Amino acid sequence: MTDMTSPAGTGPAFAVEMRDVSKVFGETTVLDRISFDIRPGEFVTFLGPSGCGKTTSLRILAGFEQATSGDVRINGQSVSDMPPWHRDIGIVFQSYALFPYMTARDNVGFGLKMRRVPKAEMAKRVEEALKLVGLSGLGDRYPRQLSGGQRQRVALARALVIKPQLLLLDEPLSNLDAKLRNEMRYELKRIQRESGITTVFVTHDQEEAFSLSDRIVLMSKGEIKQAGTSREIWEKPRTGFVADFIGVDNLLPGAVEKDGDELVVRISPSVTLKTEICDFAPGSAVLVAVRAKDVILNPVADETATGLNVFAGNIIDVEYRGERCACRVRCEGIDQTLVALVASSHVPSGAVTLSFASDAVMVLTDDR
Amino acid sequence: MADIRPKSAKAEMLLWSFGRVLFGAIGCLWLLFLVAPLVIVVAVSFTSANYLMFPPPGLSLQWYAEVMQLSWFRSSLISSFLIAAVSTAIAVVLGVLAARALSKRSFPGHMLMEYLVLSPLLLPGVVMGFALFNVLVLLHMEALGLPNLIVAHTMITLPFVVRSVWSTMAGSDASLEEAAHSLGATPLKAFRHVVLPTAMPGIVAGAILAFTFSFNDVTVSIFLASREAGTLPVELMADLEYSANAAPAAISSLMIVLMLLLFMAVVRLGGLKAFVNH
Ligand SMILES: Nc1ncnc2c1ncn2[C@@H]1O[C@H](COP(=O)(O)OP(=O)(O)OP(=O)(O)O)[C@@H](O)[C@H]1O
Ligand SMILES: [Mg+2]
Repeated sequence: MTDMTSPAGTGPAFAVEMRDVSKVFGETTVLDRISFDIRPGEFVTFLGPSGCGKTTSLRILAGFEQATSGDVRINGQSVSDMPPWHRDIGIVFQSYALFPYMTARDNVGFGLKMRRVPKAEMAKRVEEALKLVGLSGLGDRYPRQLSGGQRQRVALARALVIKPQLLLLDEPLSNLDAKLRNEMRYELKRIQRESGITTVFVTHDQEEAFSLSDRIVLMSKGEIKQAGTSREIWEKPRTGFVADFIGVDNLLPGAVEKDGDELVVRISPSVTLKTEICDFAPGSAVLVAVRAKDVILNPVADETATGLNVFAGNIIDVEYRGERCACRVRCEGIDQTLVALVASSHVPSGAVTLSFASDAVMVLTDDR
Repeated sequence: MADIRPKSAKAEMLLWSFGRVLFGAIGCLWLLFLVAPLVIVVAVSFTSANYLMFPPPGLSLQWYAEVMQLSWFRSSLISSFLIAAVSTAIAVVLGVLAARALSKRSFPGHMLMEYLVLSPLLLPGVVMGFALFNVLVLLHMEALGLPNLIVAHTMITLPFVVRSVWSTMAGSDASLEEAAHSLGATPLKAFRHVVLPTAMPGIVAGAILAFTFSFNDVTVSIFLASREAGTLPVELMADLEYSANAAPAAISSLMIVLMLLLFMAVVRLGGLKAFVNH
């Protein structure tokens, strides 16, 4: 790619470009050829299980860690030789990393002090930043005199006040209780939208990722499994790992077979599943994913039921999930139990019939 | 669930309270042994008699007046102060840098540096002093006095500074420095605005230890002190050999007061506050 600027000529087309970035610590490969672009103003989330390399990616962007190979560009400029203090990046650490011997105001003003912003302007910008995060009036407090949520806001204000090119957030909400986390999530989104700063957010909480992000990068063991909007990932998980991670309840290993003109997936010697789309050749080992919400539970046992993906079974367990209940059903000829959702007001028991349409059957690679 | 209270709960309770009483008693005894000699020395220094006697037959300030007239007292007091202040200052600068290097990720020679910096803690002072003296004789520099003492005291007090600064640095959050970098602080600025303030409790503690150790040292200094540059403890030792009056007691009392004043000054300057804040 030679053209680095957008058609309108308003600057680089991408705020961040990662090209085949790898990171090796001693023997272990922590990042394996990560490639990814972030558009200016975008809110992107790195999502993945613990140890998959999210923090390492952030640290490479911030300049605290050097990529073993590959290229990182920020606003079109390669940053491999640029030390962290020249990168103009705001960071909120998981531990907040507030300077303990400085007041909230001095913490927020630190970046401006380093940039030799005149005193009067500095005071004004610090107050603005404190107001933006809803902390006006608490500027004289030391970090130890602030609650977890307030500390997090100070950390956010400190990162925002320098108007960085890029904002990096490493699980900033994970230390907060559920209620505060929801509030801060909303605040974060509002502040990011108002400031328009390109933001990379790291989390292992899929719900957090889905509610905040313009785009999600789902990682596993140092690789990107899927990148896309929340909706894309939710509706079309590309691999078994993604389906598992976003919480698809029914995951059944199987093999593709030819049945006349169509391809079906055999999940046990006696059971095959019909599907609409199957991109695999006959004989491939695959993972079938069916959402619990797509499984229709008929509370009467219908022994004679045949046809597309219909199974007789018995409810062995019911898990309360608020409005809905998840019924775990053991079906004949299937090793794994299947999960179906029913309204909590009418929970059946005993023998039932399960069915799901062939377009609810997602056939994916098994890369869990 | 089973009752976790044993039959002997009463006995255990009794033992527990007894243990606490015993602990308190040991503490009091400890304090008594520590303070009693000091009290005796201070009391004796106010004696009106011309010889050492406890309890003093009468009170007077004559020995303090006498001490003030002693020229070796005044000159050695100044030397001691100078040596302690300069060697502490140098030890703090070197100690902070060494602690910083040691607290960073390991580098070649890490272990060697660790041993080198901390070895004076393990060697007996007499051995250090004797060895240094021999080196100085070899170099024909044994008569220099003051500079020799400053260098020697820097060497023996450095480990105190390194130890205490290193432990505060090792215990501090590495992401603070990274946060400073991300906000635009160069390594030098991050050092000044983040690393130093974070290590301040350790620096203050190390400096107090270094200063008092230097000010009180006899074993190393005795090899290096010259007539012109004798430290107070060394001169006091020499004087004790042939004087039987209460002048040394007065000097000792003055040294006790000096140390107390020093600690109070440090507390005033926020040394202890720095401890409390973290
Ligand atoms: N300095 C290092 N030396 C060796 N291995 C490291 C180092 N830093 C990270 N790793 C390894 O790299 C892998 C990824 O670490 P990273 O911190 O990026 O994970 P993460 O996705 O942020 O996980 P979490 O959600 O638990 O924070 C881990 O297996 C970790 O052990
Ligand atoms: Mg992490």
